[in-house]
Amino acid sequence: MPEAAEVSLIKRCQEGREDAFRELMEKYQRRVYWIAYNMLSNYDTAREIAQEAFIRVFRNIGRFDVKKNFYTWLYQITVNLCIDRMRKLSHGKTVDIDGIGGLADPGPRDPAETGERTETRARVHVALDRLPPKYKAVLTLRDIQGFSCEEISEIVGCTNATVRWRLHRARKLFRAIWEGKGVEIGDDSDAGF
Amino acid sequence: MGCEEIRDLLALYAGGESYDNERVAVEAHVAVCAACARELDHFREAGVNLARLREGSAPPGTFKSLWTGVRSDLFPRKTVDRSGWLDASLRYAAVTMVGIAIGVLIHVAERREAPPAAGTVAATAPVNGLMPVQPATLTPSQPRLFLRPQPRVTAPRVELDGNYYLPRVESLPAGAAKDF
Repeated sequence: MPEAAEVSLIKRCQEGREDAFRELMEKYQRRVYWIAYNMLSNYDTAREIAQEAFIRVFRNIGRFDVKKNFYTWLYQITVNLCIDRMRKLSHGKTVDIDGIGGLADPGPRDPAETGERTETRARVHVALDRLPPKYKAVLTLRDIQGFSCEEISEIVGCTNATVRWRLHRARKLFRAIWEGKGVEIGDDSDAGF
Repeated sequence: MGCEEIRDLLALYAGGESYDNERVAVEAHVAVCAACARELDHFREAGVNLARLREGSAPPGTFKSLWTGVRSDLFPRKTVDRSGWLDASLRYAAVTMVGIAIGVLIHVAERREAPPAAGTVAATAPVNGLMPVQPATLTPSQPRLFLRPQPRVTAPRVELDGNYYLPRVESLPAGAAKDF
Protein backbone atom coordinates (compact mmCIF):
# COMPACT_ATOMS: atom_id res chain seq x y z
CA MET A 1 0.00 0.00 0.00
CA PRO A 2 1.58 3.31 -1.02
CA GLU A 3 2.15 5.85 1.69
CA ALA A 4 -0.20 8.82 2.05
CA ALA A 5 2.41 11.43 1.13
CA GLU A 6 3.15 9.68 -2.14
CA VAL A 7 -0.54 9.29 -2.94
CA SER A 8 -0.96 13.01 -2.39
CA LEU A 9 2.02 13.72 -4.61
CA ILE A 10 0.68 11.51 -7.40
CA LYS A 11 -2.73 13.18 -7.17
CA ARG A 12 -1.07 16.55 -7.59
CA CYS A 13 0.71 15.16 -10.64
CA GLN A 14 -2.63 14.00 -12.00
CA GLU A 15 -3.79 17.61 -11.71
CA GLY A 16 -0.90 18.52 -14.00
CA ARG A 17 1.18 20.43 -11.48
CA GLU A 18 4.75 20.88 -12.60
CA ASP A 19 6.18 21.20 -9.09
CA ALA A 20 4.68 17.82 -8.18
CA PHE A 21 6.18 16.22 -11.29
CA ARG A 22 9.55 17.56 -10.36
CA GLU A 23 9.28 16.33 -6.79
CA LEU A 24 8.22 12.87 -7.90
CA MET A 25 10.99 12.74 -10.45
CA GLU A 26 13.64 13.82 -7.97
CA LYS A 27 12.52 11.00 -5.72
CA TYR A 28 12.96 8.28 -8.34
CA GLN A 29 15.31 9.59 -10.98
CA ARG A 30 18.49 8.05 -9.58
CA ARG A 31 17.03 4.56 -9.33
CA VAL A 32 15.56 4.78 -12.81
CA TYR A 33 18.82 6.06 -14.24
CA TRP A 34 20.93 3.33 -12.64
CA ILE A 35 18.57 0.56 -13.69
CA ALA A 36 18.86 1.83 -17.26
CA TYR A 37 22.61 2.22 -16.97
CA ASN A 38 23.14 -1.27 -15.55
CA MET A 39 21.05 -2.76 -18.30
CA LEU A 40 22.50 -0.73 -21.17
CA SER A 41 26.05 0.04 -19.97
CA ASN A 42 26.01 3.48 -21.51
CA TYR A 43 25.55 6.80 -19.74
CA ASP A 44 23.94 8.68 -22.61
CA THR A 45 21.55 5.87 -23.49
CA ALA A 46 20.66 5.47 -19.83
CA ARG A 47 19.78 9.15 -19.54
CA GLU A 48 17.77 8.96 -22.74
CA ILE A 49 15.84 5.92 -21.48
CA ALA A 50 15.25 7.52 -18.07
CA GLN A 51 13.91 10.65 -19.72
CA GLU A 52 11.63 8.63 -21.98
CA ALA A 53 10.38 6.61 -19.01
CA PHE A 54 9.42 9.71 -17.03
CA ILE A 55 7.76 11.29 -20.03
CA ARG A 56 5.67 8.16 -20.59
CA VAL A 57 4.77 7.95 -16.92
CA PHE A 58 3.72 11.58 -16.67
CA ARG A 59 1.70 11.40 -19.87
CA ASN A 60 -0.24 8.43 -18.54
CA ILE A 61 -0.37 9.29 -14.87
CA GLY A 62 -3.98 10.38 -15.20
CA ARG A 63 -4.93 6.73 -15.67
CA PHE A 64 -2.76 5.47 -12.82
CA ASP A 65 -4.59 3.86 -9.89
CA VAL A 66 -3.17 5.41 -6.72
CA LYS A 67 -3.93 2.24 -4.77
CA LYS A 68 -1.11 0.51 -6.64
CA ASN A 69 2.61 0.94 -6.15
CA PHE A 70 3.87 3.79 -8.27
CA TYR A 71 7.48 2.68 -8.29
CA THR A 72 6.76 -0.78 -9.73
CA TRP A 73 4.85 0.86 -12.57
CA LEU A 74 7.70 3.32 -13.19
CA TYR A 75 10.39 0.63 -13.10
CA GLN A 76 8.29 -1.62 -15.32
CA ILE A 77 8.22 1.08 -17.99
CA THR A 78 11.95 1.61 -17.56
CA VAL A 79 12.81 -2.08 -17.85
CA ASN A 80 10.58 -2.53 -20.88
CA LEU A 81 12.21 0.42 -22.59
CA CYS A 82 15.62 -1.03 -21.81
CA ILE A 83 14.69 -4.46 -23.15
CA ASP A 84 13.36 -2.89 -26.34
CA ARG A 85 16.56 -0.90 -26.73
CA MET A 86 18.75 -3.94 -26.06
CA ARG A 87 16.96 -5.89 -28.71
CA LYS A 88 17.49 -3.10 -31.22
CA LEU A 89 21.16 -2.72 -30.47
CA SER A 90 23.78 -5.36 -30.80
CA HIS A 91 25.08 -6.23 -27.37
CA GLY A 92 28.71 -5.35 -28.00
CA LYS A 93 27.89 -1.83 -29.10
CA THR A 94 26.02 -0.91 -25.94
CA VAL A 95 29.02 -1.24 -23.68
CA ASP A 96 30.60 2.10 -22.95
CA ILE A 97 33.95 0.78 -21.77
CA ASP A 98 35.49 4.23 -21.48
CA GLY A 99 32.70 5.34 -19.20
CA ILE A 100 32.56 2.31 -16.93
CA GLY A 101 34.02 3.09 -13.55
CA GLY A 102 35.76 6.09 -14.99
CA LEU A 103 34.05 8.43 -12.59
CA ALA A 104 34.50 9.02 -8.92
CA ASP A 105 33.77 6.02 -6.72
CA PRO A 106 32.79 6.49 -3.11
CA GLY A 107 35.42 3.94 -2.05
CA PRO A 108 39.11 4.33 -1.21
CA ARG A 109 41.17 6.75 -3.24
CA ASP A 110 44.13 4.40 -3.66
CA PRO A 111 44.88 4.59 -7.40
CA ALA A 112 45.73 0.89 -7.65
CA GLU A 113 42.49 -0.12 -5.98
CA THR A 114 40.47 2.30 -8.06
CA GLY A 115 42.03 0.93 -11.22
CA GLU A 116 41.24 -2.61 -10.15
CA ARG A 117 37.67 -1.66 -9.37
CA THR A 118 37.33 0.02 -12.72
CA GLU A 119 38.57 -3.05 -14.49
CA THR A 120 36.29 -5.35 -12.50
CA ARG A 121 33.28 -3.19 -13.19
CA ALA A 122 34.09 -3.18 -16.89
CA ARG A 123 34.33 -6.96 -16.89
CA VAL A 124 31.03 -7.28 -15.05
CA HIS A 125 29.38 -5.05 -17.62
CA VAL A 126 30.79 -7.06 -20.49
CA ALA A 127 29.59 -10.31 -18.90
CA LEU A 128 26.17 -8.87 -18.13
CA ASP A 129 25.90 -7.62 -21.65
CA ARG A 130 26.11 -11.12 -23.02
CA LEU A 131 23.00 -12.21 -21.16
CA PRO A 132 19.63 -12.29 -22.88
CA PRO A 133 17.54 -9.23 -21.94
CA LYS A 134 15.09 -11.09 -19.68
CA TYR A 135 17.88 -12.59 -17.59
CA LYS A 136 19.79 -9.39 -17.52
CA ALA A 137 16.70 -7.58 -16.25
CA VAL A 138 16.12 -9.88 -13.28
CA LEU A 139 19.81 -10.01 -12.40
CA THR A 140 20.06 -6.23 -12.50
CA LEU A 141 16.94 -5.75 -10.42
CA ARG A 142 17.87 -8.38 -7.84
CA ASP A 143 21.65 -8.44 -7.48
CA ILE A 144 22.45 -4.84 -8.34
CA GLN A 145 19.35 -2.89 -7.35
CA GLY A 146 18.31 -5.18 -4.50
CA PHE A 147 14.59 -5.59 -5.22
CA SER A 148 12.75 -8.55 -3.74
CA CYS A 149 11.45 -11.36 -5.94
CA GLU A 150 7.89 -10.15 -5.32
CA GLU A 151 8.77 -6.65 -6.47
CA ILE A 152 10.59 -8.01 -9.51
CA SER A 153 7.60 -10.13 -10.45
CA GLU A 154 5.47 -6.97 -10.45
CA ILE A 155 8.05 -5.02 -12.43
CA VAL A 156 8.64 -7.61 -15.13
CA GLY A 157 5.05 -8.76 -15.12
CA CYS A 158 5.43 -12.45 -14.39
CA THR A 159 4.96 -14.85 -11.49
CA ASN A 160 7.26 -15.18 -8.55
CA ALA A 161 8.21 -18.69 -9.69
CA THR A 162 9.21 -17.40 -13.11
CA VAL A 163 11.38 -14.76 -11.51
CA ARG A 164 13.11 -17.43 -9.45
CA TRP A 165 13.67 -19.54 -12.54
CA ARG A 166 15.14 -16.63 -14.47
CA LEU A 167 17.35 -15.73 -11.55
CA HIS A 168 18.60 -19.28 -11.33
CA ARG A 169 19.39 -19.35 -15.05
CA ALA A 170 20.85 -15.86 -15.09
CA ARG A 171 23.27 -16.55 -12.24
CA LYS A 172 24.48 -19.74 -13.81
CA LEU A 173 25.02 -18.05 -17.15
CA PHE A 174 26.69 -15.03 -15.62
CA ARG A 175 29.06 -17.23 -13.62
CA ALA A 176 29.94 -19.25 -16.67
CA ILE A 177 30.67 -16.11 -18.69
CA TRP A 178 32.61 -14.60 -15.80
CA GLU A 179 34.79 -17.64 -15.48
CA GLY A 180 35.37 -17.73 -19.21
CA LYS A 181 33.66 -21.03 -19.76
CA GLY A 182 32.17 -21.68 -23.14
CA VAL A 183 28.46 -21.25 -22.72
CA GLU A 184 25.56 -21.57 -25.06
CA ILE A 185 23.45 -18.50 -24.41
CA GLY A 186 20.57 -19.54 -26.62
CA ASP A 187 17.31 -17.61 -26.67
CA ASP A 188 15.79 -15.80 -23.74
CA SER A 189 12.66 -17.93 -23.52
CA ASP A 190 11.58 -19.53 -20.28
CA ALA A 191 11.68 -22.96 -21.90
CA GLY A 192 11.78 -25.81 -19.46
CA PHE A 193 9.81 -23.91 -16.91
CA MET B 1 20.23 -34.99 -1.68
CA GLY B 2 23.25 -35.64 -3.87
CA CYS B 3 25.77 -33.10 -5.14
CA GLU B 4 23.98 -32.61 -8.49
CA GLU B 5 20.70 -31.72 -6.83
CA ILE B 6 22.37 -29.46 -4.30
CA ARG B 7 24.37 -27.62 -6.99
CA ASP B 8 21.15 -26.91 -8.78
CA LEU B 9 19.95 -25.07 -5.68
CA LEU B 10 23.12 -23.07 -5.06
CA ALA B 11 22.36 -20.23 -7.47
CA LEU B 12 19.22 -19.27 -5.57
CA TYR B 13 20.70 -20.09 -2.18
CA ALA B 14 23.60 -17.67 -2.80
CA GLY B 15 21.11 -14.88 -3.41
CA GLY B 16 18.92 -15.75 -0.42
CA GLU B 17 15.87 -16.78 -2.47
CA SER B 18 15.73 -20.45 -1.41
CA TYR B 19 12.71 -21.90 0.28
CA ASP B 20 13.24 -23.05 3.87
CA ASN B 21 13.51 -26.76 3.08
CA GLU B 22 16.03 -26.08 0.27
CA ARG B 23 18.09 -23.84 2.53
CA VAL B 24 18.29 -26.48 5.24
CA ALA B 25 19.35 -29.10 2.71
CA VAL B 26 22.05 -26.91 1.15
CA GLU B 27 23.51 -25.89 4.50
CA ALA B 28 23.64 -29.48 5.68
CA HIS B 29 25.32 -30.57 2.45
CA VAL B 30 27.98 -27.86 2.08
CA ALA B 31 28.99 -28.44 5.69
CA VAL B 32 30.32 -31.82 4.69
CA CYS B 33 31.06 -31.40 0.94
CA ALA B 34 34.06 -29.19 0.11
CA ALA B 35 33.44 -29.28 -3.65
CA CYS B 36 29.89 -27.98 -3.28
CA ALA B 37 31.09 -25.42 -0.72
CA ARG B 38 33.61 -24.10 -3.31
CA GLU B 39 30.85 -24.01 -5.88
CA LEU B 40 28.78 -21.93 -3.48
CA ASP B 41 31.71 -19.56 -2.97
CA HIS B 42 31.92 -19.01 -6.72
CA PHE B 43 28.26 -17.99 -6.84
CA ARG B 44 28.79 -15.67 -3.89
CA GLU B 45 31.83 -14.12 -5.57
CA ALA B 46 29.81 -13.50 -8.74
CA GLY B 47 27.14 -11.82 -6.60
CA VAL B 48 29.75 -9.59 -4.95
CA ASN B 49 31.09 -8.56 -8.36
CA LEU B 50 27.61 -7.73 -9.58
CA ALA B 51 27.00 -5.66 -6.47
CA ARG B 52 29.99 -3.50 -7.38
CA LEU B 53 27.89 -1.92 -10.05
CA ARG B 54 25.82 -0.28 -7.31
CA GLU B 55 28.72 2.08 -6.80
CA GLY B 56 29.74 4.92 -9.04
CA SER B 57 28.33 8.27 -9.89
CA ALA B 58 26.66 9.67 -12.93
CA PRO B 59 28.42 12.24 -15.13
CA PRO B 60 28.03 15.80 -13.83
CA GLY B 61 24.77 17.46 -14.82
CA THR B 62 23.04 14.20 -15.68
CA PHE B 63 20.02 14.65 -13.43
CA LYS B 64 19.68 18.34 -14.14
CA SER B 65 19.58 17.69 -17.86
CA LEU B 66 17.16 14.84 -17.22
CA TRP B 67 14.64 17.20 -15.65
CA THR B 68 15.28 19.82 -18.31
CA GLY B 69 14.51 17.29 -21.03
CA VAL B 70 11.37 16.04 -19.34
CA ARG B 71 10.12 19.55 -18.60
CA SER B 72 10.69 20.79 -22.13
CA ASP B 73 8.65 17.87 -23.41
CA LEU B 74 5.82 18.00 -20.88
CA PHE B 75 5.67 21.71 -20.10
CA PRO B 76 6.84 23.54 -23.22
CA ARG B 77 7.19 27.22 -22.54
CA LYS B 78 6.72 30.11 -24.93
CA THR B 79 9.86 32.07 -25.54
CA VAL B 80 9.70 35.22 -23.51
CA ASP B 81 11.06 38.33 -25.24
CA ARG B 82 12.72 40.34 -22.54
CA SER B 83 12.47 43.58 -24.59
CA GLY B 84 8.74 43.07 -25.14
CA TRP B 85 7.76 45.82 -22.75
CA LEU B 86 10.13 48.20 -24.51
CA ASP B 87 8.67 47.34 -27.90
CA ALA B 88 5.16 47.91 -26.61
CA SER B 89 6.10 51.26 -25.10
CA LEU B 90 7.73 52.39 -28.31
CA ARG B 91 4.72 51.29 -30.28
CA TYR B 92 2.33 53.26 -28.10
CA ALA B 93 4.61 56.30 -28.19
CA ALA B 94 4.79 56.18 -31.99
CA VAL B 95 1.00 55.96 -32.30
CA THR B 96 0.61 58.88 -29.91
CA MET B 97 3.14 60.96 -31.85
CA VAL B 98 1.42 60.28 -35.14
CA GLY B 99 -1.92 61.23 -33.58
CA ILE B 100 -0.55 64.50 -32.28
CA ALA B 101 1.08 65.29 -35.62
CA ILE B 102 -2.19 64.68 -37.48
CA GLY B 103 -4.04 66.89 -35.02
CA VAL B 104 -1.54 69.73 -35.46
CA LEU B 105 -1.70 69.49 -39.26
CA ILE B 106 -5.50 69.57 -39.25
CA HIS B 107 -5.48 72.60 -36.96
CA VAL B 108 -2.99 74.50 -39.12
CA ALA B 109 -4.87 73.65 -42.29
CA GLU B 110 -8.14 74.89 -40.83
CA ARG B 111 -6.58 78.16 -39.80
CA ARG B 112 -5.10 78.77 -43.24
CA GLU B 113 -8.21 77.87 -45.14
CA ALA B 114 -10.53 80.07 -43.02
CA PRO B 115 -11.95 82.99 -45.21
CA PRO B 116 -11.97 86.55 -43.93
CA ALA B 117 -14.71 86.16 -41.48
CA ALA B 118 -17.78 88.30 -41.36
CA GLY B 119 -16.68 89.39 -37.96
CA THR B 120 -13.37 90.78 -39.21
CA VAL B 121 -12.85 94.10 -37.61
CA ALA B 122 -12.23 97.21 -39.62
CA ALA B 123 -10.82 100.32 -38.25
CA THR B 124 -12.69 103.53 -38.89
CA ALA B 125 -12.06 107.07 -38.01
CA PRO B 126 -11.55 107.83 -34.34
CA VAL B 127 -14.54 109.07 -32.44
CA ASN B 128 -13.96 111.17 -29.37
CA GLY B 129 -10.43 109.98 -29.04
CA LEU B 130 -11.44 106.37 -29.09
CA MET B 131 -10.83 104.02 -31.97
CA PRO B 132 -14.14 102.55 -32.96
CA VAL B 133 -13.81 99.05 -34.30
CA GLN B 134 -16.81 97.80 -36.11
CA PRO B 135 -17.54 94.73 -38.10
CA ALA B 136 -17.67 95.28 -41.81
CA THR B 137 -21.32 94.54 -41.82
CA LEU B 138 -22.65 96.23 -38.79
CA THR B 139 -26.27 95.94 -38.06
CA PRO B 140 -28.02 98.45 -35.90
CA SER B 141 -28.85 95.88 -33.30
CA GLN B 142 -25.22 95.01 -32.75
CA PRO B 143 -23.47 96.98 -30.03
CA ARG B 144 -20.61 99.23 -31.03
CA LEU B 145 -17.21 98.18 -30.04
CA PHE B 146 -14.48 100.59 -29.13
CA LEU B 147 -10.85 100.05 -28.74
CA ARG B 148 -9.51 102.15 -25.93
CA PRO B 149 -6.00 103.33 -26.74
CA GLN B 150 -3.42 102.06 -24.38
CA PRO B 151 -1.99 104.73 -22.05
CA ARG B 152 1.39 105.94 -23.21
CA VAL B 153 4.17 104.69 -21.11
CA THR B 154 6.98 107.13 -20.92
CA ALA B 155 10.25 105.54 -21.27
CA PRO B 156 12.99 106.81 -18.97
CA ARG B 157 15.23 109.27 -20.54
CA VAL B 158 18.26 107.64 -21.84
CA GLU B 159 21.26 109.40 -23.08
CA LEU B 160 22.96 108.24 -26.16
CA ASP B 161 25.78 106.70 -24.23
CA GLY B 162 23.31 104.68 -22.24
CA ASN B 163 23.93 106.35 -18.86
CA TYR B 164 21.60 108.36 -16.66
CA TYR B 165 22.67 111.85 -15.78
CA LEU B 166 21.65 114.37 -13.06
CA PRO B 167 20.20 117.72 -14.14
CA ARG B 168 22.74 120.32 -15.00
CA VAL B 169 23.59 122.73 -12.23
CA GLU B 170 23.09 125.65 -14.52
CA SER B 171 19.53 124.59 -15.03
CA LEU B 172 18.64 125.05 -11.33
CA PRO B 173 16.79 128.19 -10.29
CA ALA B 174 18.93 130.81 -8.77
CA GLY B 175 19.16 130.56 -4.98
CA ALA B 176 18.10 126.98 -4.85
CA ALA B 177 20.00 124.92 -2.43
CA LYS B 178 22.52 122.76 -3.97
CA ASP B 179 22.30 119.88 -1.64
CA PHE B 180 23.81 117.37 -3.91
